[in-house]
Amino acid sequence: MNGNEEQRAEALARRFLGGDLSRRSFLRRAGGFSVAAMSATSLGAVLAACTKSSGSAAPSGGPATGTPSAGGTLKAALTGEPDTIDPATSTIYTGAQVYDNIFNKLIDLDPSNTFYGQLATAWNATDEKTWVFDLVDTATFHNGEKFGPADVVYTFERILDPKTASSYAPLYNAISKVEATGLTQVTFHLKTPFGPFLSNVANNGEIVNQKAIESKDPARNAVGTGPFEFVEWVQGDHLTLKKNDSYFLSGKPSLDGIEFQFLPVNQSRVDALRSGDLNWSDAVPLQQLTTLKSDPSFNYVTSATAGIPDYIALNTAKPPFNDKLVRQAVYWALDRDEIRQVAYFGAGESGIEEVPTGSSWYDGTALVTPDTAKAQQLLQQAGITGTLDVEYLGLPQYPELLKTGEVMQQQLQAIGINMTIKQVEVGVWFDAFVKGNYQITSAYQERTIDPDNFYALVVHTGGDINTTGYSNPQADQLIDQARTETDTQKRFDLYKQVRQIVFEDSPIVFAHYETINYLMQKNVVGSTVNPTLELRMQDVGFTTPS
Amino acid sequence: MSVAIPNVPARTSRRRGILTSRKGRVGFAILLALIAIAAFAPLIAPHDPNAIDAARILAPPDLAHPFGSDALGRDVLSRVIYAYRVSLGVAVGSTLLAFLFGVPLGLYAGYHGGWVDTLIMRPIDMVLALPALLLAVALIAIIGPGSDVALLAIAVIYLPILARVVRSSTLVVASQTYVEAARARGTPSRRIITRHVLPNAIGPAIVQATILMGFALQIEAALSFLGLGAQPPTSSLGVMLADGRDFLTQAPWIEIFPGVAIAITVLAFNFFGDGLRTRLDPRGVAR
Repeated sequence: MNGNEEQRAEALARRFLGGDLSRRSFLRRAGGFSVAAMSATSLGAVLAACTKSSGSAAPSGGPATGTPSAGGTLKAALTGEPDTIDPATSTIYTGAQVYDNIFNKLIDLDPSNTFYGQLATAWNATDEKTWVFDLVDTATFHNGEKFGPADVVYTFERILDPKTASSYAPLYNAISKVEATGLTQVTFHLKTPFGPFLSNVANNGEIVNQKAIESKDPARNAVGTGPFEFVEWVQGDHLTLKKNDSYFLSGKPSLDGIEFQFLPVNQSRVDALRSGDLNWSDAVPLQQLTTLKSDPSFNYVTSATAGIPDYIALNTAKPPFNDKLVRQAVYWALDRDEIRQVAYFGAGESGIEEVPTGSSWYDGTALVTPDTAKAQQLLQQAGITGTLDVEYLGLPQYPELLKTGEVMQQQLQAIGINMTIKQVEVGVWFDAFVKGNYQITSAYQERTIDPDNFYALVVHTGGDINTTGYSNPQADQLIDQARTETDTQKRFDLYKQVRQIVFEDSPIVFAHYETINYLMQKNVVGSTVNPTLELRMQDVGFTTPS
Repeated sequence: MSVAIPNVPARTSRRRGILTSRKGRVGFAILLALIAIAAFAPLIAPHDPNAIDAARILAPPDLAHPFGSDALGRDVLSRVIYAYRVSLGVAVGSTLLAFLFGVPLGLYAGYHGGWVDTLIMRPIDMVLALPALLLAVALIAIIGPGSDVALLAIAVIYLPILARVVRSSTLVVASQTYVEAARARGTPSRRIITRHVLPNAIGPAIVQATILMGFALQIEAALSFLGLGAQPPTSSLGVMLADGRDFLTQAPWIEIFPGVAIAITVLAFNFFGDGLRTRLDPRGVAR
């Protein structure tokens, strides 16, 4: 394995294990290289950097309404420390939470799942393989450089350059060339028609400036066009941003600055918020959600458009789950509502699809009603008499996933499957998971904006995170077709068919959908959970400056 | 006719049985009760310890569930009772295992001395040099997690300690005149060891073992806390502590009851060990 692959391997490991910093510090985006190539060294390097805690999702929550008045420094708690603040190389969620405030992307998705322009004012496909973006011409980088099409070209060339070893390169593999086609215009030429193109451009691709990248280490010094400028990063303690006074959107941001603190322990975030040491916090502890979300001293924000699908992975290459009938029995035996109530304290959404119910890709599949009789019948058809012994690989780092295993254990008991739980530490789990040395386990896939981000990786034959050994030519063909289709409605219908095949074959069974939540003091307004999980502090402010 | 009977304190000191020591008595009584709880767990536990109840998640103590319910709605009292089985089993089992192997090793090393001593004791010293918990974690990493593996790991930690203790007392006993006499008479060394050395040298090891049982409970709790001991849904006291720590502010009963259970058990073992020492420790005889 060469150096770049090594780095990518490490990046991928971080993606799985990054969750170790918190249930939500999962890697932000899709990586695209063979997980089997993961080396022990890179895994070890990542493991050494991991600490442990948990935290995560929530059900409904009203938006924090009110008009922010200018001024004030927001003290905000993240669930862990960023790895780097370079958008091309940072691989964990907390990194993106910081740098998304320093940089702008071309476009993003708003809370209602509509694309809107950040540095782009208009975008059109002139044909199936060509996208033209018109750009703003009033934006400047924090180093004084004027933003222009050359920066866009540089940004994407840098991500795609193997030397950068960006784990986001696979999002843009379809790009053959990016060129400046005017003073305020760039054109993307694609190798093939590519359905998820806009979603992937909204997913990543924060625009950087070549001069800034080459003058100072970009991992520790971020220079963007965004609403906030980087001030300092005190390792292990805090990271400070200040207002960009010449931000191209007038009147924004409201805040004078942000101080990010790194607090992996759930209770410390809540305590600091209560004592006034914090104004804003990511990830409300689930067990306290019911009380905290109705607490009059806090604003609570969540959304049905963003989060993480948690699923049960069934190894289709090994008995007993190489038999479709046995997998289907698990599908029918699972009571997803009970899993949500018990393992997630009623938070989030019951597992139905890879996207949340608020996503424009959600096709309205009804929640499966568990059917014990049917499950037992399927087991009989599979020729199983008496009890079936299976081993579930448990990941204690993620309490919710392990609890899902415990609830499932009881549910499977009812149909005659005796499931034992074997807890292993995260490195052992990861190794067994990618090599297929397991029978059944819980896994999750970081937020899926476009269904392609899920099915091409997890379900497609040989997909980078296809750890179940599943292969169905019909599903592959539909996934490929949806990838190169550019008509959204046609893609929607294709994914609907893919889901039907996945439900029928059950190599994976959706168990839960974790939504995202933020908690803040009552006087903090304007915070929203966005589909791309971008933490957009430019709209946040205090109703009464403090 | 009245004869002045002198108050002989030697009488009590001669009856040095554990039951004369108040601590020993208390420790012994608690241990008996705990062993009974562990043995008859299915009869005593009011509920199925693993039954998940979505309606009772983090429910506080009430009459039907005097210790409350945990994060999965399971009855904490029943889980504590069943956890005792696992925790006590590991504590007693590991110490017995270490005793069975450690005592003969220490005995032979101490009695024969010389190269036999070196051969046996140097590797044991090496094991002793490693931090106990680290050693246990390493062993579990190699073999895989589980209560039985935790038991084995603790036995491996304890073996050197017991072997050392037995070796030291054997060195003392082996130089006694009656041993020399037996040797001079041509008694086979195996017979000397079993008939003369062992009965006189084993006292400190027994005391040590009792104390170690208490600590074994703590090590088991620590390993389970790290997810390396009992596997879910089986609970041990350590697993319960680990489960409860996230709910300390909301549902302290999940944490308090297993914590108290560990404290009581360790205390009982220590009291009992102290009582035994009064009975068996050579220093106790001199007093």
